[in-house]
Amino acid sequence: MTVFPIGPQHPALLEPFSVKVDTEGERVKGVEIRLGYAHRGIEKLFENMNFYKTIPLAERICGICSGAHTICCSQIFENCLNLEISNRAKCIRTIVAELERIHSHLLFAGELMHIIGFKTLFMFFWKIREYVLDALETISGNRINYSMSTIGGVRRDIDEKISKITLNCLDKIENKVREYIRECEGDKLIKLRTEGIGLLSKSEARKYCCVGPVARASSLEIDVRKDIPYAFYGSIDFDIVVFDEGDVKARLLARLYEILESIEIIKQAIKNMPDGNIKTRFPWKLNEGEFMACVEAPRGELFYYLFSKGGLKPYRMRIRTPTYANIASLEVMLQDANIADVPVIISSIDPCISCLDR
Amino acid sequence: MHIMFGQIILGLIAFALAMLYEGIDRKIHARMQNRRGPSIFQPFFDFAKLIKKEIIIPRWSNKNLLLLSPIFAIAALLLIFTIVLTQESVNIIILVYFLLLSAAFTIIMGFSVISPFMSIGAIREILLVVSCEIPIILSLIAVAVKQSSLYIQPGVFILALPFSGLAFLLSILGKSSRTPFDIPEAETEIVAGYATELSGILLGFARIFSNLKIPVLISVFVTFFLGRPDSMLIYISEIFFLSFVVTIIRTITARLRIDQALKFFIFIAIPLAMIDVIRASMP
Repeated sequence: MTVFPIGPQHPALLEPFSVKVDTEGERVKGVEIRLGYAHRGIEKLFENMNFYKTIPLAERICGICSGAHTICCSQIFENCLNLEISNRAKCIRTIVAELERIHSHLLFAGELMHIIGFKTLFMFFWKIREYVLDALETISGNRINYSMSTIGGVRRDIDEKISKITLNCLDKIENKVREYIRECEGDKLIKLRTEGIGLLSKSEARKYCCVGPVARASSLEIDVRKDIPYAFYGSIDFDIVVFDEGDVKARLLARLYEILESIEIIKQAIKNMPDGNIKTRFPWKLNEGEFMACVEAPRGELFYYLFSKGGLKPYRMRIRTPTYANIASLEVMLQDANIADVPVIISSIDPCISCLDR
Repeated sequence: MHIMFGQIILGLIAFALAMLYEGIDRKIHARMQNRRGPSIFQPFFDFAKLIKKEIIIPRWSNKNLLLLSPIFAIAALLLIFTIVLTQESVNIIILVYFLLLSAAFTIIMGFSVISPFMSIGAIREILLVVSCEIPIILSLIAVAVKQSSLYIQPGVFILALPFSGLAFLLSILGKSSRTPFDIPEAETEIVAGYATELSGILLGFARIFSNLKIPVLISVFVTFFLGRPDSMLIYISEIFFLSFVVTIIRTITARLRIDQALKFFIFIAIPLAMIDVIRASMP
């Protein structure tokens, strides 16, 4: 029995967490996951702030899903204040959230290719991700922390010119994404490295409460956008991408096909964009009680809980991130895996540690 | 004495060739990936910097083995290069011996420090060497059988022994640990494999070693399958340009797992080489 350490610092990990793997020869016999290397005490910080100042803090929980965090944080205070925001603001939130999903999934696909040693496809994925980031910059003025969603609506409008630029960008990446999906489905070497690896059955996915693309790749049909429609998703026609295999390849393809769905959603949202104000005024006092909000972040269901005793400061904020739900299932996926597949499996759940540790 | 001088010059040429090869290899690799890539002289700058750096010896290590194994590994490769380029006829037992010796020193390098990454890298190197050395030996044997002598002479054997030539080229990828067979130094799995704990000039030597492998193995291929041209300049440029076949293959492939790589060599490369050994030995 040899202990093979992956992390907290390792070339295969983008963020610090540690997986200690007990191996017999090249087979994995036991897994120990250790977390907390990126803990910043953000939940506590929420309690010491006026509630309208928490949006920038929520945005800085994570660099990749910053849009999802701000939307969820705005929604929970809107629930608390009984605020009804305009449809135009909801629509703009949807567009930003979906663009963010596209760039997050492209980042994941590139990272997985890097880990299986396919540097060329890695570079190609990240090149088209640049176009998405450019579109986000045109919309919001920022590449990563967009500062778009705020309590009562959004901060910037999407006019005719910006929507045209966004559509151009989507046309540019759509063909490329289809080409790369063909490549990922057909390439013999990608197939050898990803097919039948890191298996997660439907019952185990349910048992470990998996969410997002990880659950959907194990034929578990859950998606907040369909189950509890928020923002503009109720009036948009789209499909949930579900795969039955439950292996690394299914998780890769589920995300890649979701990019195509997201492109479809953005096109519909831009086409049916309603008129109206982008921002509603709100009273500067929280109502008492418990409130909840959830959105579908790129990695799965993101859940906010607020316990309020009135006043300006939230009494308690609790954030349940998608990686928190998914990371425990690594225990099942890594069992009896080959040691060369361990980084591939770890990255296949797309762990976002700054979300998870907060 | 005269021969010694010529061979030292060849050794220096090989050093420069290895670094220039790495520079151009990285440039082509980058251009194929839509990147600009580093300057082609970057490996020279890197080596100059590494000479100045301190050598850090890990506590749990065999100091002598760690210090000497990269140097001996390079020496074995340089011997092959000079023998193949200058000698009238080459004893294949000596050739195979030095090929294996260079691999043996990388394995010793991997086991000289107690580190999970280095020892897993060394174990993978053993498995890979065992499987991809056999096709190399078999294709050299086919050449020897064709000439009915253990002292093989350079010549154009690619037409007579095409399968051996192909098996040799495939094995070069495995022997030089390039994608799809970069398993012993797989960055995202075991950091840098057997070179993880090296530092300073030792790391510089390890990098030269891994880049020297391709021109040296290609020079063996060129000499015994494509023939030796009269002009040394044409000869070296032939070796140099053929080396970039490896670059193109490593750009368009993903890394295999060790068991998949072994399957590839045992079920594809070894039978290919075997066909020509049988064909050559038939009257």
